[in-house]
Amino acid sequence: MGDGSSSARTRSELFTDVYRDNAARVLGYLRARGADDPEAMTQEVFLAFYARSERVTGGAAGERALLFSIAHARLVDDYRDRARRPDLRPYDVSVDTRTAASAEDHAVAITGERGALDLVRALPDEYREVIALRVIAGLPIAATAEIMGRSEGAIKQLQRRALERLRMALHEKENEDAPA
Amino acid sequence: MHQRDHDQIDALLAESGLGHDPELRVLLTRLQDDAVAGEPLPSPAVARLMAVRPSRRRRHVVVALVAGATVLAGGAAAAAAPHSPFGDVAGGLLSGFPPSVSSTATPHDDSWSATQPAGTTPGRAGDDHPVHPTPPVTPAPPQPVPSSSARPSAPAHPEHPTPPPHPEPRPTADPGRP
Repeated sequence: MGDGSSSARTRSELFTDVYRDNAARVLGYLRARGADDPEAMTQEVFLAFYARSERVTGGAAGERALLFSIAHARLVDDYRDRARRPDLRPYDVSVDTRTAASAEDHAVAITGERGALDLVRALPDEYREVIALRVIAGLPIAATAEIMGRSEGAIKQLQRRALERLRMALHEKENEDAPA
Repeated sequence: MHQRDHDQIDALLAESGLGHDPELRVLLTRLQDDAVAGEPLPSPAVARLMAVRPSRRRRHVVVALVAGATVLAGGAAAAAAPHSPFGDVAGGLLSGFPPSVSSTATPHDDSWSATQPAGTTPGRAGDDHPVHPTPPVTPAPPQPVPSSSARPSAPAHPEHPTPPPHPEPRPTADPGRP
């Protein structure tokens, strides 16, 4: 990992630090993007990162950019796989959403994690991607543009539209949940 | 880390001309905080690539050193005690002679004095071994003096009894008498 100041440290030590600093972010990014099995995919991302870790340059920012470019590529593969095969899975009560929400659920949905994630997941795919990379992954515009294969100007436009859409969705949800 | 991320959210909103929307800021902050809250446990494959924490490695080294030093100290102490009671007893039984139990602790120690509190035994400074209390020493009862000719100033030592006084010759009969 290309930080010259850390040449005395072993590859395993650097990998450990990268995992501690970024594992939660990678998992959150994959969750927000709707990965099929985000925990397992997080581990695959770090295994792929280790294989390339000796060629990384740019210190911590370069390591994070590589991590999320791997995560992004894995997600694209995951989407393609899911599009090719029918989604057959056994019935699981925990993922069945056909229930009537209680008043407590309404309150949590507005302010809690589920509400925020639900709002982001309801966005179009490109908006969702730019919000996840900029907010959850914490990447700068340049790295986000590189991962998404766009120019920095296009990313700025995209994030502005995504945030406006998110704000509209938030206000709509508040109006729906407000007592009449 | 979180403050830096929250600053990044402020910058993101300002770039997009939405810096005046507090609800959107709260939503993005919650989204970020919840996303980075829990670190997933590494899978076995990932854990094999991770380094063992230096503190744990050091702890193992210290434990091994302490164990080695303890073993060495025990061996040295055993070698430095040539007359251990166990060795004497075992050696006596094996050789067929009655065991002569001895100890490194001498019963008569010059450093013992009457000013020492009862129940303690003299020992070296910094001696870490527990000291077994000994019963208070009571002065030996004075030996009966067989005759008045014994010197009263001589101490009565139980191990060196005073020899009986030489009997004075009984006066014999007057030689002048028949």
